[in-house]
Amino acid sequence: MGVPTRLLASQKPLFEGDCEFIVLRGADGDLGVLPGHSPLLTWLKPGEVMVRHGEREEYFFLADGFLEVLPDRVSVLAVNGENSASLNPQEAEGMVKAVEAAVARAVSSGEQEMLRLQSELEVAMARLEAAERQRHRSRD
Amino acid sequence: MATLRDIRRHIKAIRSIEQITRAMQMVAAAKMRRAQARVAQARPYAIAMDEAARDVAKVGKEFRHPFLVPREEGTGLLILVTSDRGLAGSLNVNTMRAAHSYMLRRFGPRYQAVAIGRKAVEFCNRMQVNLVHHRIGLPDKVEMAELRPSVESAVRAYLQGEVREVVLAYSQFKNLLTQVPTVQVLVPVPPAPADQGPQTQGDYIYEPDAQALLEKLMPAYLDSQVFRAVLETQASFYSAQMVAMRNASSSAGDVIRELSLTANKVRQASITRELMEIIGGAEALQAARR
Repeated sequence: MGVPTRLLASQKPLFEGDCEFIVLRGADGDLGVLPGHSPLLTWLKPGEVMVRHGEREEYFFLADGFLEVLPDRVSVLAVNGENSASLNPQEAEGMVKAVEAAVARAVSSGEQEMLRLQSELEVAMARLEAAERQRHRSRD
Repeated sequence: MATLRDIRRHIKAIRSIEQITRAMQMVAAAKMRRAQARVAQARPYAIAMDEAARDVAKVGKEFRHPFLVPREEGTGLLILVTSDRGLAGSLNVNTMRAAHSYMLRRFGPRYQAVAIGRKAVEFCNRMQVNLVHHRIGLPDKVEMAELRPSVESAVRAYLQGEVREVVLAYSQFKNLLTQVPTVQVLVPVPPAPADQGPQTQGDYIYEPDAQALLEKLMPAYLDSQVFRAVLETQASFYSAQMVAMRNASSSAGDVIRELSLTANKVRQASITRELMEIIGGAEALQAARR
């Protein structure tokens, strides 16, 4: 029997249902959550989340977020997230290029701006990676 | 007594007011539907964030983030969210009244405030509370990042130690006819009740560690709550405005009906008077002939 799981982005809910297994990119590396996991709080690195429910596996891309695991409930909370199925490699690559261009323009600007752009670039690259993985998956 | 021409002019004026209120009603209705969909989609995240923060407040022991530690001293900080514009009935007044009376009761008149929305700014200036930050002109498609400066100024005030409580006030959207003024304590984070949240006595496992995690989670919690408050207020505003404009249009219709009646009576009276004069004149002539 799975554990009630919810994947919520700040603009819209992404997934809600009972899951047998969840894989995410936590602060200290990739982690898998099975029912009965002990209480855990971690932030998430930009990347994909996999949820398995029944026979199905679904993938979501999260730009950031938090994971709260309780024995009877798993919550994944992200400011920005989307279903991997809606990702498009060309569009994701365009976003990487746009952020790279912004970084190049911002070379002389302050440290804080650079830090912000750096994390934005990290998100864009992770998103591109997710888009490409999604393309491979849908080929199989 | 008003002449027929005066009354007709009055009717014309009211008819053009009616056209405006009707147009505003349509616009508000369209915007309301969009705002309502947005808030419905965003609510689950904000509620879950609130739960997560309350869960930590309940069981977290490893690191007591300043947001989790109740304070004895200091004043309150109110984050007041209203609309920029009016013509929405008593919507903003209700929110501000609820917020102000809570703050007065807890902290007296010299509390601090972060105002989001022009009506909130005006209110804070009128009440002469200590306005630490204000924000007006948020777009309908507001993003969470746009609220960051407002949230940050509240965090700064709290961390400086003058403030012992951060309170959020907004108008919660229930449905077209009901908007509920809501006053919510954000900081110190109210712990989850005994029968909710983690049922264990043990703490969470924190990754990478408790302090680093909570220093990220707590601002994200505030962001989520303020973001929700803005979306709730937008949906409330457009529904209240739509209802207010519908009422205005229908009372304009009533006034027009009444004035038309008066106009007709006046017209009838003048016709009757003219007839009487003609008949009177004719009879006088006949009498003279005989």
